[in-house]
Amino acid sequence: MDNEMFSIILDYFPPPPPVSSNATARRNDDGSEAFSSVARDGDRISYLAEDLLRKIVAELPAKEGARTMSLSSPWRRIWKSVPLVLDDAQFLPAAAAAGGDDGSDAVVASAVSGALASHPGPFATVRLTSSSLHANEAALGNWVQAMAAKGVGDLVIINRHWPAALSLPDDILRCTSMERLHMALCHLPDILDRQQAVVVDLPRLRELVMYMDVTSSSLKCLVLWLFHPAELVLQDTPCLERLIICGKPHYFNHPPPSRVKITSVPPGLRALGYLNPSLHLLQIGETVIKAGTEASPALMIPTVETLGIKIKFGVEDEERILLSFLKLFPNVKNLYMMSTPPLMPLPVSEIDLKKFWWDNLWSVRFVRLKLTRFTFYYFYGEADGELAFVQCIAATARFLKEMRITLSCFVDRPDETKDELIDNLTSFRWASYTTQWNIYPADYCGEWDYKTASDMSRDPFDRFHR
Amino acid sequence: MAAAEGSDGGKMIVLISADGQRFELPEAAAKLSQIVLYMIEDGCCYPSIPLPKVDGVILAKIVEYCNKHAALSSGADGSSDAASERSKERELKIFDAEFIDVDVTTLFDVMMAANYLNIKGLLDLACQRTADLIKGKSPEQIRQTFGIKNDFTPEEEAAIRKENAWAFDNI
Repeated sequence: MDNEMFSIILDYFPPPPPVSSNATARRNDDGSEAFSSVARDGDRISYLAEDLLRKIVAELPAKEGARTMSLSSPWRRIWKSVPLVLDDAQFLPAAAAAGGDDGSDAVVASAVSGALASHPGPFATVRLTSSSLHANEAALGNWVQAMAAKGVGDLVIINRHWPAALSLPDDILRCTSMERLHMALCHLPDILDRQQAVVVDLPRLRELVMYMDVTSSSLKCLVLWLFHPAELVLQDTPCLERLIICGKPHYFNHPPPSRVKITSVPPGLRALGYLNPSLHLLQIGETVIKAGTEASPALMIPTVETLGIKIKFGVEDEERILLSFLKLFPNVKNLYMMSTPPLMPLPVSEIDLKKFWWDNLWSVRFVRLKLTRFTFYYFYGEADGELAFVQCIAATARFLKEMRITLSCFVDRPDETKDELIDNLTSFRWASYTTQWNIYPADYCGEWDYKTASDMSRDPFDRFHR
Repeated sequence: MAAAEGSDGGKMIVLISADGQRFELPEAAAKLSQIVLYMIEDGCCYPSIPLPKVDGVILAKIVEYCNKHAALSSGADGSSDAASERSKERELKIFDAEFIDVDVTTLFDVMMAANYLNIKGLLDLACQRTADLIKGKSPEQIRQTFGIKNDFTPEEEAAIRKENAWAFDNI
């Protein structure tokens, strides 16, 4: 087992509950406690109100909490009446915790089985991060069944087994009280392949995190379709040519941004998109790309030739981050922009976004020197920055051969918008005399689908009927 | 008039312990107790608030806790940047650790008083401290520390241990 790798994964997961820390009373050097007095006036603790006893027991790790049942009769039922917080790291034998490996899977499994069987539920938090679930597959079935029957709030589950992924038991989908599920090196049951329909009904789930650390010596194309990972780490993917991210699931309105972390830039990455300044926090090496980040050579990804970016024009922050993004890719030939109208009225931006692009787009290297095709999906024509961006591309890109613009279906009067756009695009001198350009109606393009995105013989973002 | 003005111009509240001792503290500190807060809101705090269940020795400690926490969380000095927030947090942590490092009898007195006065932070601190004293000990050591009387028969105790064997290995 590669302990280092597991500890890296663990770092990305929510920290263990504080109760499982092993802090004990301060002790003197000789091991005696810092204060020596014991209770002077009899057994007051056992006669504390039950809710105080519960509060105390709730601060104890599962094992020590359960032991309080044997103290005296007032303690007998306390542990069972406190929602269980179980962290299986507590059960690791000292030798295994120190890195040795010696039947610890069985030790952990038997303690977890014991705890989940003795406690009547509900289970507030269950963390299973310390054993190979392959070795404990039979027990895992019982655990998940107990969680479904007794109720679980947060579940963190990492299969400490490499290299392999494990399908969780079907009962995981019956854990209807579950609010958070974080998992790594295991996956949800393969219900899509089943003959009969399986209803997934997890009404209280508000956080589902699947850890993906992409390390593959052969992977060429990675498509995340309607999938919003908390963090995607491109670690060691020397053959990756395409990274395609298709938005977020529709029901997920304002997810926290997804961290796209490229720790080692794939040397042959040619196509990337759609990066979205409001959904993605792009990190290259140790640097998070923000508004105003200067693109030093170390941050640049010179191999990318096809770039997709989705943006809400009119939102100042997004436009400023867009500029930072564009500067990372010095050699883009084929740029796709997708504009999304803001759902709410735009705040008045501090800066003149029209002027912002006229002042800044020339500083993007590829626009001046490389860009040959520019495609703009869903022009809706209300944000200043949107029109200015298109105009500046035309005024700056000397080698532009083709510009294609489709109107947004949210445009009320498409003919007027189109005429206005034509006026606005013919009111200044273009950088190239030979650019072919056209404006298309909203329904001109087909839906984007993941087959196009993953077909290595095609342009991943091109949806024009040909 | 008991609602005197404090040195910083804020209102002062007077608490009277079971044995008749007077404690004067700023309103912001007194309000850390939900009970006192309600009494202040209801205007029942003049000329003073009697607390017949809390002894003077313990009330002195409680007042010390409330004064420290109110002073450090008010941001009265106007500095609210992240660095000073962190240093205040650190200072409170150190204060709490020293404050609660008391003998078991005092610990329970403080816990009961915090429970009665409904001072959430202090109650949490006392329960956490009690839990820390339980951690790492065998049941017999825990009984000794807290003077817990074992009222189980040997058979009953053995049954509990057997039923929860997973928790009692190598104890």
